[in-house]
Amino acid sequence: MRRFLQGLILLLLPGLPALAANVVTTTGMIADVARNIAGECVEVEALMGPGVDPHLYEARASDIGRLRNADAIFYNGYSLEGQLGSVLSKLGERKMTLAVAPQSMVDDQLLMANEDDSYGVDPHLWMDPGRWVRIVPTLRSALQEVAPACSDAIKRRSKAYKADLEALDQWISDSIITIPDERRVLVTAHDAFGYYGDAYRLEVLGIQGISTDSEPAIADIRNVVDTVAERGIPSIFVESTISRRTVESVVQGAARQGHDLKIGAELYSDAMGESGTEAGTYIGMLRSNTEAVTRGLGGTVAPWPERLSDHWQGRDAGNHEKQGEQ
Amino acid sequence: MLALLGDYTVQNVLLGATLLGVVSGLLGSFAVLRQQSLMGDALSHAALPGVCIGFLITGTRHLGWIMAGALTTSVIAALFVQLVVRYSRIKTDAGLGIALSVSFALGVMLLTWIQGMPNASQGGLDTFLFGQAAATRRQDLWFMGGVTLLAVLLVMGLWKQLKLVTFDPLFAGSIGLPVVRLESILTAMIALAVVVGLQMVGVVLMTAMVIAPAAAARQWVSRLEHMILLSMFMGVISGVVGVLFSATVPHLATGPVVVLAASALVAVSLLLAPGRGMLWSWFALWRERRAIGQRQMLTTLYKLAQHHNDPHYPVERSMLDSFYGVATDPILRRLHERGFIAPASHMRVEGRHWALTDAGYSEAEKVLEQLGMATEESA
Amino acid sequence: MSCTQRHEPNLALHIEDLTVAYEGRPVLWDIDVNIPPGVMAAIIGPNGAGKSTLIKTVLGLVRPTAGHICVYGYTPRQAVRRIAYVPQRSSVDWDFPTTVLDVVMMGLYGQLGWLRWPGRKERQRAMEALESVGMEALAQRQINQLSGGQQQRVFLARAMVQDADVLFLDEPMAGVDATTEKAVVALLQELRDAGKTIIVVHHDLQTVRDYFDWLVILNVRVIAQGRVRDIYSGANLRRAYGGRIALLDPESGEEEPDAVPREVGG
Repeated sequence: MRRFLQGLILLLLPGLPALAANVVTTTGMIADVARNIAGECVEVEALMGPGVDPHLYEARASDIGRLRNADAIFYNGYSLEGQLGSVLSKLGERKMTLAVAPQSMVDDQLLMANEDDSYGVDPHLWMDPGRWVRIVPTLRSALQEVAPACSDAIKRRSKAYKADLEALDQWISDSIITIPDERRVLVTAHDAFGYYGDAYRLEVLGIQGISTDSEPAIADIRNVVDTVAERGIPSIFVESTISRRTVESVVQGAARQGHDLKIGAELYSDAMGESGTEAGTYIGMLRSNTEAVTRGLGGTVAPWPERLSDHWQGRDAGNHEKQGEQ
Repeated sequence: MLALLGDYTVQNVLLGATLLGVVSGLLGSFAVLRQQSLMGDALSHAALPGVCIGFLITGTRHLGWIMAGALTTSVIAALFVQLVVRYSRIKTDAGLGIALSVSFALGVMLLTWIQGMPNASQGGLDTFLFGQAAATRRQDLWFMGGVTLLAVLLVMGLWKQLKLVTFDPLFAGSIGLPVVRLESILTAMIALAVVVGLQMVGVVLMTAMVIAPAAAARQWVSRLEHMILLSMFMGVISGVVGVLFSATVPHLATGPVVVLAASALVAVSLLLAPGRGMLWSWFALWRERRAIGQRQMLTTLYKLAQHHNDPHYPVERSMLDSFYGVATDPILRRLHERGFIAPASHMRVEGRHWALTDAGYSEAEKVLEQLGMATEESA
Repeated sequence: MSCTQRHEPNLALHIEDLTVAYEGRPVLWDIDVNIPPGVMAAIIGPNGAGKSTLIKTVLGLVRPTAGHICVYGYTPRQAVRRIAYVPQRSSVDWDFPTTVLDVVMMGLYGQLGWLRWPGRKERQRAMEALESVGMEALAQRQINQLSGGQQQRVFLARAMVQDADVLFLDEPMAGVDATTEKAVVALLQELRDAGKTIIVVHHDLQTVRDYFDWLVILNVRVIAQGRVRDIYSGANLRRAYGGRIALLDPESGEEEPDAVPREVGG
């Protein structure tokens, strides 16, 4: 029997493709960055697809299988993947399981979720490419460990992607700055845009708190309604992973106070858009968001940088336009 | 408080909670009287797969489709329970348990499966688990109002039939009423209530809203008409209190507070309702015990008086204490208040004495007569 | 299962070939029963003999597997206005929030149709029915405060208010005090004398001869039926109840000789 098997393997060996290394991430935002750096060398897949809320995501049996078979696991950290904590720590005992955000960030870059520090660090770091670029070196070394054969290619790509993200950062800044001062308030369904607001000097206001785990309270809705009406904020934004109800009830409340609040386009907060569409990549997601916010608040979008033309194949009318007032 | 009541958001939620209270109280009354309270639990859990299926069919979170899905699966679960109970050996409680767990498992499975789908508009389906009362919108109110109106009209139109089928289905059948159909309507109505409450308190807590106002109301009134009205009223009160309370405290979710208010009403009703309340029973029991003690004491004094041939024979208190084995002061005091005994003394150095008065003497005779015990012959 | 064209119109109750099965076992089999109008009939038999089932099948509450039933030549459904039913007291949760008068008025729901609500006329008829059972003083009483005998009278009043020609009663004397039992029997006999047919599932063998003039002895099949004096015999009872059964003369306490059984029907 043994001889037979050995012979079989020797026969098949030339036919077997070089088994690519594979890596599993939790969010698409991490996966997309990793993909851009790793190229063909490493297969990268994300557990949470478009429209999935990472705060609430619970691992299924098939997920565990994928996690087990991976060569490395990358997750966000700072309690974003609230329901996966124990699964990830168990896996961490046996293989490289990397919390990319805590590994990459420096303390003074972090924002707290609540004023009173009661929740901990705000995990939505991908909202600011200026911060998110810091995970590139982290991912680079990890990927080089996983696929040492491609070390050089990985290094090359990570340098290029880093420059891409810096260009993106500049572009966003150029766009947001055109929003008139009194309109620089970003009202969304939950507090996901803290870093975005901090980086580009926008005030942010979310109806629900940092995590969508909690049910919005009447006081929360009233707060936002009053603020919006008092300050004459023109637009409020829905998010792809959250039901529109809370936003719609704020709009109705504001209308009652005589303020015409428009629902701006759908923003991608905790997940990217559908894969295959422009907003299905990290850069695309931020472009879509920025265009929606800028236009919704009365600013002008800056011209898309030459460097990033590969990252946005489509026409200017991205899929976010279709999801305007519904 | 006035500022709260004037606020549009609060008004919306209040109106929603009021409609919920009305429909829960109305339809829950029949469920409770038919001993099908758990049906509310089964049906609300059965709404979850319907919500998911509604989403899967249309690919959007459109309210109408989701509610239609919820109503459909709820009604299917209800009919399933009815059929199973009628035509197999499975009893109602087992049937309800099966329907509840199977449909809820199906719902959760669908939820997680949808989670894995690439459709980007699936976010927020899980809010149906616990509801999102604070985000009540105009459309929600129209929907809830419509369903509530339908329920009220249905109950008013079929009032006699529903009452009789609930009380005595056998007799109802004998006078020609279509009992099975009416029972199905009663059960389906619970599904209606569930659908109304889905967005306010969610699948998990809806069962409490179906049961609590009706159970509380039952304690206070004695006619079905009154029970239903009171039940609706209590449902509304729970809703209003829940909304106002959660509106004043920051970060407090509304749905659970409404349910807590309803539960508090039940607890109060169970304890305090005259006639049926527990405190009243305890009070009546206490009074009865006290009366027995007094009667015993009177008859003892009587027998002693008979034995000593003196209707006003003074008895030393310690003697009574030792006979009864407990302190008799409270009983003696009470008898004194009622005029049946009077203090007496025999010898100064001894302790308190008591003797029967004329009134006490005849009262003791009456008690003994009532008990059918022969009195001693006066020697 | 249906009567065609006034089948056997002269019988208050005509049952032929009736079979009712439950979980594959027959509870009633090949039942032929003929009850003439104007009698007070008892249906007796051991527990599980199918007595309650028989009544429920006649009323349409249970589906038969075979056979047909006619009341004065009509199907029970057609004759629903001529039939009244007094179910067992235990079939109801007496803690229901309603009054005595209300329960009696429920007897009129069938006649009111779907949408009409009971009014003054119905109230009056209900009060008259309560008077005839001696319960008019308790008209506003909560039904959960009634004794067993009072509950039975309320049910009886509810049936009487329907002015039916045939009354079916399921164990009306069970668990009832002696006074009520006497009163109920007297009332039923009055109704019988007025031309109505009374059919009672009865549990007490001792009183059959005193109360009833017609008898059906049942144990899945009909053992015997006919006039009480003809078929109430030790032999028939033994056949129904199996085992030993002795008829004792109430006066002397001695065993009566067997009457010659006369087979009537199947």
